[in-house]
Amino acid sequence: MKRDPMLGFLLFVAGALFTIAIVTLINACGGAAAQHRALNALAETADPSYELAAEACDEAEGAIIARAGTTYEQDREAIASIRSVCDRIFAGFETVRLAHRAARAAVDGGGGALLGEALSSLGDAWLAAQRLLPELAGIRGEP
Amino acid sequence: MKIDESVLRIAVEVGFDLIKWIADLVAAGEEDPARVIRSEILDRRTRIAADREARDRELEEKHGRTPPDGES
Repeated sequence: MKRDPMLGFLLFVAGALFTIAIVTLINACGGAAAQHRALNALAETADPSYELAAEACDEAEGAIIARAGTTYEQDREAIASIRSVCDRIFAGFETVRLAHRAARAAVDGGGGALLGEALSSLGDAWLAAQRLLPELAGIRGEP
Repeated sequence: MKIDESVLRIAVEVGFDLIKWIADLVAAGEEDPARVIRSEILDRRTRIAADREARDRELEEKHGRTPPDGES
């Protein structure tokens, strides 16, 4: 089974930057400005990650179309599998985006318990989206 | 010219109401973050759907199938 190098890179960069951003955010004692900066860093990671995931999904479909020696039904089934995984990845990133917005609103609202809750949702959403990425990397195999 | 006090009071109240109305209009014109996010998501999903349609056409072409009626 072939591993997509771009997805490997995506996983590494996204995971590393998110960890830095979330740790900075949680440890930010500098008040709302520092928390906003950390949230900005997270958005700068999450948005391109979604974009890269969308590109990787399209390329995975392209690889199925480019392969030779398969029937229409085999290709159609492989593309359906890719789309199923990708749809869940996209939904995951959209949940991250919404949770990110909630965290920003919590910072604006003065932080406290609401911020803790928003951060927890954000972390969960990110981990759920990240857990799906290896599925996409693994789906790109020859029949 | 002497202005009656009650007329002056009404003029001030109307003035305040006018300022408040303008402030509300300006606030309503600002971008709602939730709407921006929805728009972003919809935008990206539209692009993904377009990419998928293109891949579907490529798949049909690869296997020499005629696209269904209504599709180019």
